[in-house]
Amino acid sequence: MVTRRWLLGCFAWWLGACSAPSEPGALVPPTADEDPALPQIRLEVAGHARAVHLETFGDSGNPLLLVLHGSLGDYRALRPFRVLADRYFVVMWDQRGNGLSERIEQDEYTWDSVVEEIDAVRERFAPGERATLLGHSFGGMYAALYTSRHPDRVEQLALLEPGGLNGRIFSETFDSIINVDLFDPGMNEMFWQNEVLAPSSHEAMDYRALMILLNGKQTNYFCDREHPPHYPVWRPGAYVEYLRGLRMGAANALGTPHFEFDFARGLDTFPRKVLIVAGTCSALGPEYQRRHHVPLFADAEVVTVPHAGHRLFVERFDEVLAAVQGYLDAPGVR
Amino acid sequence: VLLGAALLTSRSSAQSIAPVVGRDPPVARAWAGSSWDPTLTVDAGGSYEVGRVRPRLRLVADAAFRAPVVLLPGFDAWQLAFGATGLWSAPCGFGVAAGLHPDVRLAHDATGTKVAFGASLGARPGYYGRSFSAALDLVWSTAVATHVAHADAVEDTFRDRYPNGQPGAGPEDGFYAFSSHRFRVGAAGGVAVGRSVAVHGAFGFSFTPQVDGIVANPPISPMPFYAGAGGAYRW
Repeated sequence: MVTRRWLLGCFAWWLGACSAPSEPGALVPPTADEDPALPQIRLEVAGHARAVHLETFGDSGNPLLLVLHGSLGDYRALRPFRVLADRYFVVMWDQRGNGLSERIEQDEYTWDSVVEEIDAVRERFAPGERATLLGHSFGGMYAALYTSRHPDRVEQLALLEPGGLNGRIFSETFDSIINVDLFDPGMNEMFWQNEVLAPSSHEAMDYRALMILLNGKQTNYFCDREHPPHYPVWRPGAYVEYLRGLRMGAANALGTPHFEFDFARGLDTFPRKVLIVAGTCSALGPEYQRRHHVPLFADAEVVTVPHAGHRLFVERFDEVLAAVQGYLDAPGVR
Repeated sequence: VLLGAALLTSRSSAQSIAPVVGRDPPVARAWAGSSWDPTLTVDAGGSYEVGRVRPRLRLVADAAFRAPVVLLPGFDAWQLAFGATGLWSAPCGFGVAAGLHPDVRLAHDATGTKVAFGASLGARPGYYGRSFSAALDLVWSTAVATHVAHADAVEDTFRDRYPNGQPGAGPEDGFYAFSSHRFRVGAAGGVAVGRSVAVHGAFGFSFTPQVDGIVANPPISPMPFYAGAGGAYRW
């Protein structure tokens, strides 16, 4: 009997000594609210003040350049664009709920709050001034959304492979971009992981989302889907992905979802030239951009980056930088 | 994993209690099947009747192996369960099968290697006829303790901000307690085809507790259903 009690006691002690998947810093890095040493500001958006992981580069007297990252990522991969600090005051941040920024609640994530967030960052660093926006993927879509709402607050607009800028484009092209293959090993690994580590906490969800990022087969984004280029992140914000799907009108949908949103309304009134950069290997490549997005603007140019996919600035940074610098320096753009 | 009492039953999913197919089946059984739970899996197992506590209460020891079909060649994901199932049935045929099955689960993927020590507890109240059975399928499956050994892809997410590997900066290799809970509510049944052969199936709703009550947002979270079928040889 003593032995049995002793064994049960040992088992209970051992279980108690186990970590919880939700412990900060166990599965994914701590966020700015959990680690005060991280570079951050507090930003009030949608009625909530949140710790936002943010860095600035360059002279604050230069024109403001805001860099917006895409989905399942943060600004870590975009940091090489800090070289633009030679002529701009570059601000990069992890959008609320992403990367090392504080996690958010469901009611904090709307298209209005996305616009409010970009506007709050602009006002923080260049009150009353126009900003240049550089956005990748969903970051490019949000840059377009902000421009459609506040064209008078945008100086220049550079988009790196933005996804469909309205629900119609996104719905029509969804099947050509996303692969739902139930026999894909990566997909099966994600489903099987429910047996050992279920997405019962934000941290476990983020950890799971990293698997999506590492699997190149779920999207037609890459030159080599078996070996997608390494995309450095701190933390893919899985809950934001869920909320984004809800807002787009596609969450919990099986099969081809129907999306309802419009980030493009009024973009044709933006008075200056817009740059779109795209890689030839990506389903969101030059043809996609010319066919679906160029007509939305009064003046837009597509620059092609050969032998690059959706992570074009990771694969061919020099070419992408040259395209962006060429656009920013062009007479009449500013 | 709760393995169905294959002695009593032909139902063999590694996560369920099997309904009896026939009130007086042979004492030994081997089975194979396939199911969606939580992805497309195959399973195989065997069982043996170890005794009758009372005339209407039978005990079966069983063991089963389950793995995702796609991941089977690499042996990167599997579940091995051992346990016991008891069946009590009234003279009219109504009864309940219940079982407890400790198990070991492996998941090896791009984020690391996870080895979980888990268990499943299940009950199948229903009708157990001479040549068929139909019952509710109620299962709670949990990973009691999961050892996670992180891959470099996970360590890379920390390395940039914590280059010196400060204590507590993770990611932490080690055991995580109760890292997965899954609940199943559905229906299960089977039909004996002669004395030596039986077929079985089960389907229903599968729920994994998730952030904000999300039911399904694949592939981040599992699809909220399960279904499976298989066959057994009995002797």
